[in-house]
Amino acid sequence: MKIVVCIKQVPILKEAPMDKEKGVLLRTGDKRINPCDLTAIETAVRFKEKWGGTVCALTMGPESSEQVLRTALSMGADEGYLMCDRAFSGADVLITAKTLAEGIKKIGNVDLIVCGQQTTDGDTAQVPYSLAEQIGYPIVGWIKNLEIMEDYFICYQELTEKTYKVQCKCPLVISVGMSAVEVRTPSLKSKLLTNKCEIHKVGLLELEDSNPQNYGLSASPTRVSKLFTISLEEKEPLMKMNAGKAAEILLSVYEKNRKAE
Amino acid sequence: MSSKYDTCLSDESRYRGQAEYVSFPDNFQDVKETIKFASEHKLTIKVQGSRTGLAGAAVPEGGIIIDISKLNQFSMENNCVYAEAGVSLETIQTELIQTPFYFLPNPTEKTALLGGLYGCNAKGSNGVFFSKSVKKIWWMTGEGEILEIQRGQCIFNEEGVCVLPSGKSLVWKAEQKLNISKMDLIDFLAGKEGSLGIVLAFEFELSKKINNIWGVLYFFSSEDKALSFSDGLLNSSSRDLLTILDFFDQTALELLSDKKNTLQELKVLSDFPVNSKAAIYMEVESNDLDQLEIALFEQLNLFENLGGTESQTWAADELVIIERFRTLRHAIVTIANDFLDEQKVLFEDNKRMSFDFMELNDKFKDLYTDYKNDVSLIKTKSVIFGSCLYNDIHILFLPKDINEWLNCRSCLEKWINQLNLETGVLLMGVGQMKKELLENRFFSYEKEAINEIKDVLDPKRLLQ
Repeated sequence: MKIVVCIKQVPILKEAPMDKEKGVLLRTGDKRINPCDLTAIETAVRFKEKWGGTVCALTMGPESSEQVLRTALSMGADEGYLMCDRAFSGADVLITAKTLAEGIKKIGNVDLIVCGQQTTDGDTAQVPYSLAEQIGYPIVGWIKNLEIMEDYFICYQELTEKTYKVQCKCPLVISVGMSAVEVRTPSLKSKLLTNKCEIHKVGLLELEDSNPQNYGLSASPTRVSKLFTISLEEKEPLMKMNAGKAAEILLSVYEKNRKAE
Repeated sequence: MSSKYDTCLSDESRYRGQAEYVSFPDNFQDVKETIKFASEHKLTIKVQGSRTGLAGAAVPEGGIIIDISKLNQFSMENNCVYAEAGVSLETIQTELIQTPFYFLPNPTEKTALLGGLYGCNAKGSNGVFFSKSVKKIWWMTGEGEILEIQRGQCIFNEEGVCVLPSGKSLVWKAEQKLNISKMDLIDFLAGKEGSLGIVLAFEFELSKKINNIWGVLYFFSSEDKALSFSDGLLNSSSRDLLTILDFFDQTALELLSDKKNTLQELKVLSDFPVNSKAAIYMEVESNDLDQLEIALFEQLNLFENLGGTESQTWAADELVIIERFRTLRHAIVTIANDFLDEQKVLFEDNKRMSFDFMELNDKFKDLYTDYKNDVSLIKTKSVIFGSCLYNDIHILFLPKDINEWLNCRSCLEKWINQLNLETGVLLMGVGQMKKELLENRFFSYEKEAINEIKDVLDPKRLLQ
């Protein structure tokens, strides 16, 4: 059983500064592991603890991203892969997923890919889906809870305000929300020991597709045409009435809809 | 004053006062106008920040409240900051993310305002007082005069005289009790809780970020083992790298565990290891990672020699996780306050009671043992935590009925009468809570000395 957990280092920001010309996020200042990815690591490690095998943590980013791999190692991952190459920078959702897919091919024979639901910088929640498509695996996303059984697992998916119970088998990509599992805190010993572990560096030339034109900003179809802050204006209410009258109208709408159903 | 401003009548101490007006100045001139209004209408003034204080220093006793939260201009050049008194710690922290600097005195309550930190002379869990990093203050007297006070410019001489930038002199006539000779006016005014003037703005220096910070929580099967461990660390070669060394007693851990699923900041933490009866939280920092790792391995050895196991430690070197560990201290106070709010239904007079003291000439272990003995005698639930590094101890009483409350008050009274104000510092301010109890501690000539200072800075006695 080989499990890959895809993780990312993100800026610690409430409002990230943007390069207005290129339309990309400026990755300066302090950084941290993407919060949802801690849940992804924990999920991957729990699979390993139940089913055996190895967990490989994979990230794409600058040298400093090594830190998030070390966090994964201290939580129980076995290997860390850093995809670091100038050619990878500025990638959008599609090309980020492509790069990760190439990294996963490089690791080889992967049964399960675990992703955090979304990142705090991009916030699209689309990378796991694009990755699944490009690697050719099915995906179960928006997981709010899961149970690992002997040879299958059950995911509880949160979709359009309803919870779906899905029985799953590998190979598969899953994307987990923050609440899916309670995340462990690494012990001092594991933090210290994993700080010395070797991290595998993966550059462009080590990938199956090593054409630089297929990576980074130049290959990304997403174009940001304009960046602006939405100005919120307070709108005049359509109708003004007291609370009793408002309740009366709401009830009549509710009754009408109920009958229609 | 409209009832929508009711929240201005109390703070985190849960003491409640009264006021006729509240003012929200957004510039120095507005503050001056408010003082003029108060003077004309013979109203006293209470200055408020974000009301996060635990001693009731922001609770008004009639008159007009000046809320400083809209005094929030902030600018920065290199490591030098100009910030008005209403700037919050959260704002500073956000502004500094993109810089190589950090705000060294780092109290755990992020919504606190700089004016409040200075007003109650707050310090961070790393033992650093905010006032010590301040280079200049803009100070408004009770007469509406703005004094720009630069560090090093106004110092009390051996006769206790300090010449103000306006040319007037402050004279401290009290004998012996407070050694004021060579004290900078900026340090003297810190902790006066708005009674000698209103701090409007600060200029202060930031510290350079350290490359490597580690935070580790060690859990123990007994309080004795935790205290022995902290002693060991203080005598180890890693002593100089320690910036935080906090102790949490069994009740503290129980309260935190009980509220783990309801308090937002605790939800992100794992469950404490089973049978944890005490914990030590420590931080070490250094630009030299190797030095740091050697120190941490040494700590681990010490911990294992005391019977500790791997599952009884939590470690982090990412600031975001370290911040989570740091919230434990603050969470205890929040939980204790919620507890008191619940008990208020049972008996009305359940005002918050706590004791926060830093004793420079003693060991934390001895302080803890003494106070713990007293607490065990009154048979009332109490939380004890504090810093083994800076010898500050915090005791929160959690009385369930009026008899327990009275016992706690006697205990507090005893401690306040015993404490040595020459070698120790009362933390978290005096406020409403300790004012009455401290009355007896000040000799009449010390009260007179404060009054003489007030004659210069607040002659009409407007400031509460």
